[in-house]
Amino acid sequence: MLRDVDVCLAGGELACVLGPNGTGKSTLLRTLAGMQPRLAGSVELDGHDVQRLPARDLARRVSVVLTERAEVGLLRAYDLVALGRYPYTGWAGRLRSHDHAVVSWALEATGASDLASRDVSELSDGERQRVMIARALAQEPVVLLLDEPTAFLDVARRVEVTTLLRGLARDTGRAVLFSTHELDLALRTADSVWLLDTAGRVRVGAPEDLVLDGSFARSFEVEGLTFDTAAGRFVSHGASVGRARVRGNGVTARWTRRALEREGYEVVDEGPVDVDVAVLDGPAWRLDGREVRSLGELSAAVRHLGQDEA
Amino acid sequence: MLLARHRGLAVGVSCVALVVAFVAAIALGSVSIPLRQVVAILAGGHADQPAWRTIVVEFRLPKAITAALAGAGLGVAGLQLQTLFRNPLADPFILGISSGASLGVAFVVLAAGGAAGSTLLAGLGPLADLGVAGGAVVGSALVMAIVLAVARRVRSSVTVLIVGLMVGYLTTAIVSLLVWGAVSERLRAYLVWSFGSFGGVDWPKLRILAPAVAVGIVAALLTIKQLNALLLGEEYAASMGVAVRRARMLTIGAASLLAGVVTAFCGPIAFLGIAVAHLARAVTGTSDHRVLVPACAVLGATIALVASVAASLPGSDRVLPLNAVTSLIGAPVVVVILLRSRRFSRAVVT
Repeated sequence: MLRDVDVCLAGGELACVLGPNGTGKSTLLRTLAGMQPRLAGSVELDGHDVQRLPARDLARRVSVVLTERAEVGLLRAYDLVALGRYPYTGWAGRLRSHDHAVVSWALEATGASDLASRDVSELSDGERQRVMIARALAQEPVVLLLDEPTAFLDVARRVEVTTLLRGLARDTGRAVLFSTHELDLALRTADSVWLLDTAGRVRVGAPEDLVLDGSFARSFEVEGLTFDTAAGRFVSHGASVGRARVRGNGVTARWTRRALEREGYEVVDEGPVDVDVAVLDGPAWRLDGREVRSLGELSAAVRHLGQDEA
Repeated sequence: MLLARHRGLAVGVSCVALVVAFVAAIALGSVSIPLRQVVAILAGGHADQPAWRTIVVEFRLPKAITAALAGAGLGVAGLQLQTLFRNPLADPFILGISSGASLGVAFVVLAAGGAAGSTLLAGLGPLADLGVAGGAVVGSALVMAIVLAVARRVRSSVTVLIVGLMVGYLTTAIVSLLVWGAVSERLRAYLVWSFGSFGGVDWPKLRILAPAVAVGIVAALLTIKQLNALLLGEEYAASMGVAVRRARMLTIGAASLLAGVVTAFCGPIAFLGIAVAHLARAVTGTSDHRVLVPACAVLGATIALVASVAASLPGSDRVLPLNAVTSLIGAPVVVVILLRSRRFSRAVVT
């Protein structure tokens, strides 16, 4: 359960609820959306209490994209997006020309215009997510809430979706709030991060501020992992098998360090080391007078070294 | 555009098929009456033989209307429940409504007979028949009340579904006990009801059946927007402003009314409730309830009429159990369409 949650969201802002699994990201989002009763406190939207707003009025202000996959066949993407017009249409749900215009706009804003006549069940996960976001947008909400919108997507698709969300917030002036447990994604895209930790606390700030004041490290740290503040990522600190040095600069040297860290070495710049690797042009690597042609070979050689010493 | 034209064609063909099936249901039967005579009688004219008039007006016409109403009602109820529970296997009887009706009938026919002696219900006159329908109405209404009470309280429709199934098992078990202890002649009366028939409904009973089916179908038409939103699941529906519990009560109430009243008068008719909605989706190629609700009514009525004609074995004196015929004709048809049509299989699988 979360305590002392005091957050606010402004139009045009992309905010991210970030936290390890089980800290209540979904619960917080659902409470904000008025989908489940709050235990205490209040959720206000433009001065209206979310829980007191009639269902139709709330639906005109808040729309959601849920983690649950909407499995539905024989429905065109266009018709699915058009369902977002629900709070604006009459008893039969018939679309007027204005509704059609909004649906087309929502499809275009999400880059899903090409998908309009495709059947929803034929879409890939990434395409489907675009269409679900378009549906939420067709509700013309003040606030768009998305629960783990990148959960089923590959890396490229994840970046695509978060970039889309950022663009939507900027271009349409709506507030967009999404939840994720992926630190990297939040760091790269969100204007502000609502950081939940396992103790039920919420910290709010620009992602960079939260990195610098150590909040990220405290929220996510578990046994065997350390948050590398400089790199903005987590590193595993299992028992180190030794110290290593990488001579060289640039991208190749950086990935060489990563390879050695993966093998369990602590990479240092000076002092006595067990493994000394020089990055050559080519690229190639020299280790103990031997030359190798790939980092795979280098890793194997280093692993071999460790076994000999043992 | 192409799709729209295709759909328009499908609607036209379905309506023509319904009219043909209706006329066939009146024209065909154990006594052969020339088609021209049938038309003349329906138009209010005179028949060459007075008996023909009686056969058409007092037997075949109410039977055909009953078949059409029952098929339409079961088809629409099946569609409503498949959408509400997002389950392609849902049908009007999944909530235990038919079991409730069976229980009511079993009590009237079996238990009463056993308790009060064989003379009380010995004659299969209109009084006993009304007792059967009455028992079915009471039984299905009872189950429906339980399911609705649960539906009002719980969050998840799946819970409602499971409670309905369990109530169904419970009532079936009680029916088994009644059957086990019944006298064989009463057992036969019960079995005859359970085979299903459109022939037991005369004009006075139609005065109950017709408005009840109409109310159920109108309720379905009034909730097409909610049903469309429910395609995405109850949570999305709620986020779009659907009053989910009210929509659920209305849908279950309407489907129960349709299934309950049809079962009361025609017996527990298998197959139509589950298959008509699938066929309607295959024919129209959409999940939009604005199209599907009317399509289910038309297709359901047509299939019920065809089954009714087939069961009466035109030209012979014998009549097959309706339930056997609906499944014998229907099941292979659905399987063939399922295997042939990608569109249809998609609708079923998802």
